[in-house]
Amino acid sequence: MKFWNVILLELRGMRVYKVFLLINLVVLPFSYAVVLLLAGAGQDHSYLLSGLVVASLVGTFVGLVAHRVSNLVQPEVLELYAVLPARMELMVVGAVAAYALIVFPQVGALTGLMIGLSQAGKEALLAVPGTFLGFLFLALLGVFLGTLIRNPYKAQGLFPLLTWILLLAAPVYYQAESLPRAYVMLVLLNPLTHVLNVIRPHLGFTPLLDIRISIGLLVVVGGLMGLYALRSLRDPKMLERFF
Amino acid sequence: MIEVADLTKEYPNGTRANAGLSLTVNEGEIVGVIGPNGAGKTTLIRQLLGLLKPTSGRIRILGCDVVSHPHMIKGRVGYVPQAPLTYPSLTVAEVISFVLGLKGLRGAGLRERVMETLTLVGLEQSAGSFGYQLSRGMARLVLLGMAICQNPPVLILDEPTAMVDIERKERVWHAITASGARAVVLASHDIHEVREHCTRVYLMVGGKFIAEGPPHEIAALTRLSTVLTIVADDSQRVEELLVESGDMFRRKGDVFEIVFPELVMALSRLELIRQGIALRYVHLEAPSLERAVKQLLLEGRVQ
Repeated sequence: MKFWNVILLELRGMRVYKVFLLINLVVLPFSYAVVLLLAGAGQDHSYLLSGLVVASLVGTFVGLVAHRVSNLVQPEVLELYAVLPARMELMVVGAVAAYALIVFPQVGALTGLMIGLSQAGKEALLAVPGTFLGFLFLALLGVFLGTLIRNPYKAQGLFPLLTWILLLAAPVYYQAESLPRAYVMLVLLNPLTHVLNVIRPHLGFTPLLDIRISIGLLVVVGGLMGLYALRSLRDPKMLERFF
Repeated sequence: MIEVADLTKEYPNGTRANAGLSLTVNEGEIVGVIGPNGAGKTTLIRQLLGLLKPTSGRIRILGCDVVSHPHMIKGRVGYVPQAPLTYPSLTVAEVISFVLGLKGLRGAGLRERVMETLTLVGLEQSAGSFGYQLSRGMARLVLLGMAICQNPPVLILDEPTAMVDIERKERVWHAITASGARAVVLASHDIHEVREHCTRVYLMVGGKFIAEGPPHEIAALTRLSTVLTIVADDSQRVEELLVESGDMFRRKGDVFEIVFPELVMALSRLELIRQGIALRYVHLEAPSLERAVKQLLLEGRVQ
């Protein structure tokens, strides 16, 4: 019940951002989807749509989670929550769950479109677990960034920049295979490349790297980020590091 | 109820935030901590809340060691932070419901407790107002509601009435005393509030307590003068009389602030003025706690 209480708090907390959410979760991604469909006439649309699924998740879900977590771990808020009957890790998991609920219709619709338009047939359904793994990884990335930055004002400046770098240095809307080898090596350092690499092979595209390596990397890096966040959030002496 | 013994906090960069602090709060006491900005009050509060590990010393709340069991304070300590934090898109009633929901309250019991709390802090008319609509003073009342709705035996208040209007200040103190808290720590800059409500006061400067005791004893620690403030119908005559008597005084418009070395002298002068001049306002402070605190803080800084 405590968990539901936290989710409810987060969902209600989104009420004043209704227009922001409508634009970022519905208007913008589906406008991009239409543009991608029009631009890629005659091609397999699922490549660009898979890029849009990941880009939308990074732009909205990761941003929302990272901002909220950085807000929860700022000193004044930590002081307030220190005496409330909920531990900080519950607050964070509740926030992630609430934002997952918020972005789920958008991700679900775009993923459905991606699978439906794929030329891989039923095989494309296997992209769903890959999308889910990517979703989990990005949730952990958001929590990790929030606990690392710990300052919502800094976060406001840093997260859009980081999002831009991540999206630029990953084959979200372009194909990396034909690019110089050095650049391919660079994009392979970007976790978003591996998120895309666990989705696209099931849509009929050649993987940049063995899919099992990408899965392993996402699990290991995601696990490490999750461990870091958990350790930080469980440490009641969280304010020590501010000085 | 609260026992702090020889508490010292030194940050890794060598900054000493507090040194050798010892403080006790017994059952039924409201203990004030006064000090200028940067005196170390926030560090002390964060240590009491279990968020900062002391370099040395001990903190016990309700008999339990806060350093080794930092989560013990959850539900047992109520805290009103200095920052007027708000939940912009939650109504006042929803915020209190959230806290009570975390405590496990549901249904009619929850709604009843929410209304009780809002009535206690004087926000019953604002139950449906969103956080972004609240003034800073009202936001502070919501924070007080969050603290006292849990019925904690210990309250830690960091300037609970800052930015709260005069009428609501009384409501705040009524809520604090009616909350059932058995021990209260109040960090404040408001000397009048401290004098009126605290049973004991700790004076803090440079991370150390430089004086401790009931407010009247703190005031008596310094050989400070008695201050008589008056407003008379005939200011000209008052001034002539004071000049004639050789008293030390300061005039601001119709307000006279006269300083006497002893209370008895102030009383006799007041009697003399009253014999021939009608007074509209009289205030006597002997000795002034505010002046005593200023003096002690100054001496503490020099040391």
